[in-house]
Amino acid sequence: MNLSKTMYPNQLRSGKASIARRLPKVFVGVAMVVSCAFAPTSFAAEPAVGNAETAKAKVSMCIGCHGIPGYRASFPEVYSVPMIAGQNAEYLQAALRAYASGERTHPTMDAIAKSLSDQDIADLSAYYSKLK
Amino acid sequence: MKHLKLALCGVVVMIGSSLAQAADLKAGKATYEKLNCASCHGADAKSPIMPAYPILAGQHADFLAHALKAYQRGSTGAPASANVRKNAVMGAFATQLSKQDVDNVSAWLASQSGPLVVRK
Repeated sequence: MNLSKTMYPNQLRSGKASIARRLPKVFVGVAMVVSCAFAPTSFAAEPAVGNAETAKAKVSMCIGCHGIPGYRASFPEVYSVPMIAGQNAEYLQAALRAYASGERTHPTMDAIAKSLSDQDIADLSAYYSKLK
Repeated sequence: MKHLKLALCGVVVMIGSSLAQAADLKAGKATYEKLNCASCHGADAKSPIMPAYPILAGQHADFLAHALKAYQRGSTGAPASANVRKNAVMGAFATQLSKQDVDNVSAWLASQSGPLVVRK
């Protein structure tokens, strides 16, 4: 009994001290949750707007196949790589996202699509849809 | 005699190449109409009802055939390594096509004029 009485104030003190020490962390945690709750809605409201000019610095990975007349892929059947210049921008975006998500599989296109940001996809799609 | 042989060879080559180009454009157009592809891709195959759908008119025939085969593989359980496309709508249409149907409809689509070009 005696022992527990003498310990009680210590425990109280240490309890207060730990709450005080944790307060900044609690605050950071709350701030992170709050910011996360708002951030996605603000991004969703503004989808990436494609900029064909910016895309000019990004097309180097496309032209090695799609810019060469008669270029063919060979697996699992031999076929000409598609003409993408003049295609709908929204479709080009959908196709790139399908490669990135695994909905479509193609070793080269999967790797390229996964390396692209949403902005890259929007820019490249705007560029090729306007190229006629 | 030598010239006659050469001429005969030429005729044989011409017949052979026309046989190799076995895709039937008329049948391809019929397939496009039968499966009502126009309901999404447009009657002219270049005016899809939504911009998220592709323009098909004038695209390479062998690419269109490849895409249809990839949809077939994607809806018949082929592994991801087999080059597949998984899409409920296109998978359902593609699996109704025979190899000949795929070649015909692809050839017909490629023969239509469209805005697609090869450019950098």
